[in-house]
Amino acid sequence: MKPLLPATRATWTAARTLLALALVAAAYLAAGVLSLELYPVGDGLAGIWPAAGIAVAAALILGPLAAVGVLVGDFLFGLYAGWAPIPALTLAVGSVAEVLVAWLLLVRLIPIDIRLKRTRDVAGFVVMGALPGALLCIALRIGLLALLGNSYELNAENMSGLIIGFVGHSLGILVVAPVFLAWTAEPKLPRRRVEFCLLLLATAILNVIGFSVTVAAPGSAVLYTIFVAVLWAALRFGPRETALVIAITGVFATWAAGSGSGPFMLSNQNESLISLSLFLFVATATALFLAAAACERDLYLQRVVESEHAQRALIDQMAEGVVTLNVDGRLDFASQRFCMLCGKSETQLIGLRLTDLFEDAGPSTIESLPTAVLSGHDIETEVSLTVPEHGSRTLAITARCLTAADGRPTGTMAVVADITDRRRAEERSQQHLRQLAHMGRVKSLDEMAVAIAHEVAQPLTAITTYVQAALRFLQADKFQRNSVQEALDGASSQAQRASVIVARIRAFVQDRPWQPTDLLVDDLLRETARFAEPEARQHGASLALAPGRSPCRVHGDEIQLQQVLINLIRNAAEAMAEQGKSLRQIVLAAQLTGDDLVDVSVSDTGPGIEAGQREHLFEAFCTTKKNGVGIGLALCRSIVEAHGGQLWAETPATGGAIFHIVLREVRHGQLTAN
Amino acid sequence: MDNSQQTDIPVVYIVDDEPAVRDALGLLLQSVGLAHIGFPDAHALLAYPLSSGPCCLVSDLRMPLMSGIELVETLRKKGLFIPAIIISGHGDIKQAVRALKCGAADFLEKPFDDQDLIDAVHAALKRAANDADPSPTTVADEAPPGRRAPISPREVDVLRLVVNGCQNKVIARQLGISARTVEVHRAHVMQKLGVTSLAELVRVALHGGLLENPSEEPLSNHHAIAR
Repeated sequence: MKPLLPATRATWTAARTLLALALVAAAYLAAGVLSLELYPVGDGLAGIWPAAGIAVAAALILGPLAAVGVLVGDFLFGLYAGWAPIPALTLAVGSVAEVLVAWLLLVRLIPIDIRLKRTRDVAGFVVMGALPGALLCIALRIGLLALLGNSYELNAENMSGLIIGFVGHSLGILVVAPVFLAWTAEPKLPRRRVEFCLLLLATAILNVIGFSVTVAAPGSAVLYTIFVAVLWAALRFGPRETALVIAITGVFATWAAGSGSGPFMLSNQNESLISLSLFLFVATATALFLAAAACERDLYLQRVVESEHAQRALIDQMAEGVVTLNVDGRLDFASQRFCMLCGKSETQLIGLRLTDLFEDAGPSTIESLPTAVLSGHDIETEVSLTVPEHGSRTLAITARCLTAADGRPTGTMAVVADITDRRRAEERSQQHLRQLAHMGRVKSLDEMAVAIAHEVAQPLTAITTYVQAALRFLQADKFQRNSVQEALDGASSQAQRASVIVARIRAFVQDRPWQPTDLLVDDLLRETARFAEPEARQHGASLALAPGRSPCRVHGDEIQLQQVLINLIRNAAEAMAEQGKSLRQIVLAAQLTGDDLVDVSVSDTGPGIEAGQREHLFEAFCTTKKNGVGIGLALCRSIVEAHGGQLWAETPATGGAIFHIVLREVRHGQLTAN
Repeated sequence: MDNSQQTDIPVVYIVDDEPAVRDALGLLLQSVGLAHIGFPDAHALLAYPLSSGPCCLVSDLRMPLMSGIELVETLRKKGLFIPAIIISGHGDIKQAVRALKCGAADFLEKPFDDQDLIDAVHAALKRAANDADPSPTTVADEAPPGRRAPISPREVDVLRLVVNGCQNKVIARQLGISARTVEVHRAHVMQKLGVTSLAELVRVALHGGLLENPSEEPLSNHHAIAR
């Protein structure tokens, strides 16, 4: 196909516009003629003026240019109705003003969606579209005709003509414009076509019943049967079908009023007109608002459904499984991920209790979970689950209460994460740490060999001497029972002491599994001091426990914590020996700080830590010792962190260095996960 | 042990920070009928009014605050020439040499033989009793020179370095001989002098006058290379 030249296209557009304007003019003229024939109220006036509706719809659809079509249509109608050309043109100017005002208000000032699917669009259309334009139109017509000095004199009779004009225009806009607007915006026929045809048929039948003189006597309420069709259209279809029903009703009602039949056949023409107008206004406004409200309701329902879908999709995509339990503790929702974790379908899971699925593996029992959550406690615990295909899995459950708007608990929501892999990785890293710690201890013992040998030599020397003394007492001429007893008692107690030392060393170098227990911090420090004291002495340093006892406990592996302390004590002793100062004191202390933390500190009177070293102190392969590898403190920190604690150093202004091990305090009766 | 002030009964002062060792030593001395007084550290002894009669000191080498050697030095500075026996658990030759040079009468390694200790104490008490006699007494009196075989000059070289605290490897390098040869020399010397431990060897070497000048600096590497 040959592409259109720009000039050709412009011509084409202009032609289309002209055609549209001609159509507007023709429709306007036709509507005017029809309404005059249907319901003439004298002086070439029609009771209802649907042409105004066509004009406003044209302006909202085509733009202000539609006013040209309106001008032509109205002028031609004026001539048809028997007006002289000048007054006819004057009247047409009024109509043009009406159209322009409607366009200005509804397109420019407060733009409305012409599908009229929202109540605010309907409100805007009713208030701004139907009333101000009609008022201005009539006012302008009266004013201009008065200026021309003929025909339209303001007397009592014409005053009612004025009202008739205003009401007719308003209703014309109200009843007719929505049909054109809504159907132009969505010209496709509705999906339920059969029902749509039935609706139209019902509308026609109800209209015939409601407005025919044979069934409906003047003033009869039979006309309200039309609301059946209106409700049907508004609730089952939409604003455009509703507008169509109203428009059909309008035609029938106007015809009935004009032809002197039906419920509007009242004592005089004015009353009849007012009755018709009121009926049409109420029916139209109600129908349009109802249809828009129904639309909005559908829209909200749709949004709720969509948002539920989105949420469900989101929940299903989460790495964690999600379940909700009702107030009885039974499952009423399970996400896909949760179903996968359990290896069951959602239908299999619904109605089960958590105890049917899991076994306890955490600090709180799964059986008491729903009750605890409903009484307002957030619960975090761990459970184990055996799935045929996946073996045993460890799951972390975080549960919280779901509440209604009034705060009443409605159930429990639990987020379930599979932490099996994490646990395994943790176990592996713990094992690595354990091996590394063991190597560290063996190395420490190697380095402390001299001090340890000395430590063992003491009781051995004592034993030897005691036994020799005992032998001599036995060989003496005079048997000294008491002295022999004393010497052998001494030997015996020293032998015990030696075996305690050996046992301590054995426990220290043993490669053993991680055995966390609740430890009295005081006992830990005392035992550590016994172990490390010879090493401190070897370096000419004294090791003391800070005075005062505290009954606080920590949870951890005794040997590993001892290892950390011994490492810190040895570092302190070596640093002080290297410095060569005669005052060499190491103090072990423990104190409870706020937030349930225990601060175990090792302080010395050595050279302290240089500012440059401080930041690299705990890094591996960083050392200030001549023969050090630089693993000690890095290992210490790893051990302390594996205990959930922190290790850090400070150089106080008073000199020396202080290393702090901060661990969480274990309260009496508190549950600890093993 | 409340009779320390009486001048005629010999007293042994025991200084050791280890209560069990102190107690055991006391019992041992008691078993041979010697009076003794124990002190947990050097300062306690220094604060004690010491006997003017025959007495001697048995002290541990390593103690907090003041070592056994420092104690002997301090006593000497105060004009108290109490014969001292130093006991060490470390078998450190350098310390033994230093102790003997500072005037200690004897040096024993832990764990020691009871007879050795009792002999050393008796010798020290005898020496204390002879203190009035201005002629110098040496421990070498106990081991008359006639009893031992003559020591070769090479063995003297080795012995000198041993007494100076050198390890076999170092001695071998300095003398330009193998470590194995040093060991053989050392064993011969010990056999000839009738001693069984290093401490004893050092004691006999120093007090027996086997080395004209034991404090002479060991031969430097330079010399060794020049040879």
